[in-house]
Amino acid sequence: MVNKEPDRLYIRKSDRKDYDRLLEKDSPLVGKENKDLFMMALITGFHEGTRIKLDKREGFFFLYHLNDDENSIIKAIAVAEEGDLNILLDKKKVYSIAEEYTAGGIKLLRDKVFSGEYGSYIKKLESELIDEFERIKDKRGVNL
Amino acid sequence: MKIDFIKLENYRQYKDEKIEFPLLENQNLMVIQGVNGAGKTNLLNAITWCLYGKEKHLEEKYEGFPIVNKITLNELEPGKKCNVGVLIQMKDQEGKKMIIGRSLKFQKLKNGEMITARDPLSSSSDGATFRMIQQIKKDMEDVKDPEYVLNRLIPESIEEYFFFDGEKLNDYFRATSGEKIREAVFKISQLGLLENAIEHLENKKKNFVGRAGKLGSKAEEIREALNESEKLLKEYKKELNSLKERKGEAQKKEDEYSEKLRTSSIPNVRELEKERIEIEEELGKLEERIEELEKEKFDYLIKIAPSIFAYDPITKTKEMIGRGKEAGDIPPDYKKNFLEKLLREGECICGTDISKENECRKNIEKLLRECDDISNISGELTEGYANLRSIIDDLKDFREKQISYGKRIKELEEDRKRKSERLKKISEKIRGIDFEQIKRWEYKLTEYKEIKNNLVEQIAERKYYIAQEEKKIDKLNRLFDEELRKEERHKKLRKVLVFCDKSLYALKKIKNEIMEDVRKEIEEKTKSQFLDLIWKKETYKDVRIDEKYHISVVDQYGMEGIGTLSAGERQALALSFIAALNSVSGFNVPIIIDTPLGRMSKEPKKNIARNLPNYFKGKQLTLLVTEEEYTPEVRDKLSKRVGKEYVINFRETKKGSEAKVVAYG
Amino acid sequence: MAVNVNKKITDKITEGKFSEEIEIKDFLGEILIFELEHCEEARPRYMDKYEELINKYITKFEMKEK
Repeated sequence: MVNKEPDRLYIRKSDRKDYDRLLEKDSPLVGKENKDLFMMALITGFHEGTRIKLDKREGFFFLYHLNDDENSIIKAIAVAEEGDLNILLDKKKVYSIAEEYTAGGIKLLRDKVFSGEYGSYIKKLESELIDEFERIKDKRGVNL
Repeated sequence: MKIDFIKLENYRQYKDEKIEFPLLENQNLMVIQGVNGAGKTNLLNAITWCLYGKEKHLEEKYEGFPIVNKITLNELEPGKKCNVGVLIQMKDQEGKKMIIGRSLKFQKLKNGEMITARDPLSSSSDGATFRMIQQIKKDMEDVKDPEYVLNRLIPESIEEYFFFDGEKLNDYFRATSGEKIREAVFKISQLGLLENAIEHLENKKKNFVGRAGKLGSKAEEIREALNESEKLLKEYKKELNSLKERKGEAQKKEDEYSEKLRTSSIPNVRELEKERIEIEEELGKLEERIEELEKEKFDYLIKIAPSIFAYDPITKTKEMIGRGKEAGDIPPDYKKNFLEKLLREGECICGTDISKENECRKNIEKLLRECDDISNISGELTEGYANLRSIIDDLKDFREKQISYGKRIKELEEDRKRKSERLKKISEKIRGIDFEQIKRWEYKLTEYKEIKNNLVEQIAERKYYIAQEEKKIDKLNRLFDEELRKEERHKKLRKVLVFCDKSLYALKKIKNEIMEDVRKEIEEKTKSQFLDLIWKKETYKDVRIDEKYHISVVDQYGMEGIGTLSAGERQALALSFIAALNSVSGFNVPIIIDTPLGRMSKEPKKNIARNLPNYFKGKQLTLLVTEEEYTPEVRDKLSKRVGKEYVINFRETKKGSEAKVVAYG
Repeated sequence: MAVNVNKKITDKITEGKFSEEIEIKDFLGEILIFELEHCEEARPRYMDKYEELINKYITKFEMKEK
């Protein structure tokens, strides 16, 4: 069963205000696009393993804004989730998995960004990335 | 606008003087030569005093001394009055006259003391009489609101771009002058009109809302809240303006004391202050660079984060596709879609009829059963595989990049630390100089710096409150519109509001675009004139003026070159900039430059002298020069355009000093 | 000193990049002329003038619902 890909990605209506907050002047993410926030919330939710179904939803950005890398990552997450490449036949499902992880990660992302003083999120992000990177390196050996 | 003549009465060293300016189109250059101290700068002061009641270029030696000519002062009998006056007669393009005059009466008391005899009708703080008369048709009429009219013709806030001291041109490169220049450009492009229209239209819109009569209760509530917020916003903006003004004043004071130190008689102090100014400039740029780098680093981290956190799925998926490739499933031998199509159309690619049940049809059906849906997207999978591989590749230099950013930022931060410490040291050293006046100046300088920094913080705070309140108002406006929509009877009000909003949107956008266009135009003109003027033409490639109106010069290697410009080159750059401002401006104001060729060597002097009249084409240009500047070569280069040439003869008598402006030669 | 509204400004209005509706273009043109004529005044009487101009153009103005 092949489902055509959606033309846009959705977020929960109730999460809208969190995204707005992240775009305010005093946020380190000010000036970023909706799709950037989406990706950040997505990997936050994925990292925590939290998936939330979208109840009342609203459009957030058009699919064509995603670049190849971002699309590939979203698809890879769906494949890993289902354990089967066949999931890629159902594009609707692929992107809704992403949307659910995003819904699961947005509140956590918002908390991370705004807890602590200004400037601390950037440091936090950096050290999280380093830790994760080292963990990957150790697991995979010198290949990385 | 051109100056026809200036009359000075008892103004400082000018007891009774009339100076005629050149009015011919292609000979509108005037040169007044005088030694330092003869009275050149006070001519400039006379003009700014006449126009604005302030002597903007008063040298220290005149501070505290009355404006009245000393000889007149001494000769005046007790009980008698005398008058200090400066009168400027100007002519516009159509030849119509405009006379601006300021006069201040003084009275000598019986005990010999001098007091100002204030004009009871005067609106200026010193009690001077300020009048403006303009020619309407054949008659001369008093202008009702002279200060206001003057501010439209030659706004005080930008007079320094028309009447200026050539030696102070360096100030344009200070990090702090960007804001002032931006404001000047604003005034110069008639953007005030747009601003007024925007303000008035916004007020009118509020007026409509206020008059709308009884609205539904929710709408009433919102209207009330809007009213409150608008009031609060107005307060904040008022506070912001006053803070900005105070900051400007503090900055000016800071510059004054810095200037005193920079030109002090003690060489050590001069050197230290010069160094301090340079370091502060560099510190400003360092801060910007650090901020830039940190943003760059952050953007990189945000970009790479998904790859890192989703690394497991990325590799798993890549491996799965890889296995498929090895197994020969990707790309597949046949696509399922393709086989289905063959069966549907009833014809094989070899031409065999397979519309009915036969051997061939059975074969194809078998292949179809063995075929996976996945075969339909094998192209996507192949592409995906390549993508995932490149994502993993990009990850390889994550650590390197991340560490490199950290290093570069740290280096800059250490540089910043060193510079801040050097500044502290300099301040200590200056305070340690055993000379009361120097100590006092340093103390004042530090005081004003602190005041300024304090104000900067307060300004940032106000701006934040203003932004918050504006956001609130936006939200309330949207809610208001929603409420109005609900009731048909508010259709007209809504229509009016939408009309106003669209008009406001257009006005604001146009204003911003014009600001940008003007900035670009000034940048272009400054660049072309500067590159024309300088003699090391291969060294400098570009001149840039950014949105904050910081001027920078790019050398042939793409590096910032302002620090390497010689004094003469900096002068040339500043003059180019002023000329650009002037040519882009809608203001046709005469230009007066005090000491335009001050600290230059022969070559640059000649170049600038040759080009100067061209850059101020069509404008009446007056140069106040010393003998060293007005060399025979310079005189020769300018001679074709010179309409009037004067020398200031200066003499000291027992009763006081007097200057007379006489024809050259 | 008779001056006109800066050509840069009037050009941008007629260009119509930020205002498609002809009513808005004409309206802006008129209010800027008013502003220019009265910019000498500290407190110009704009409320009445703006009301007049808005009412003039609002009748022909078509509101496109979002």
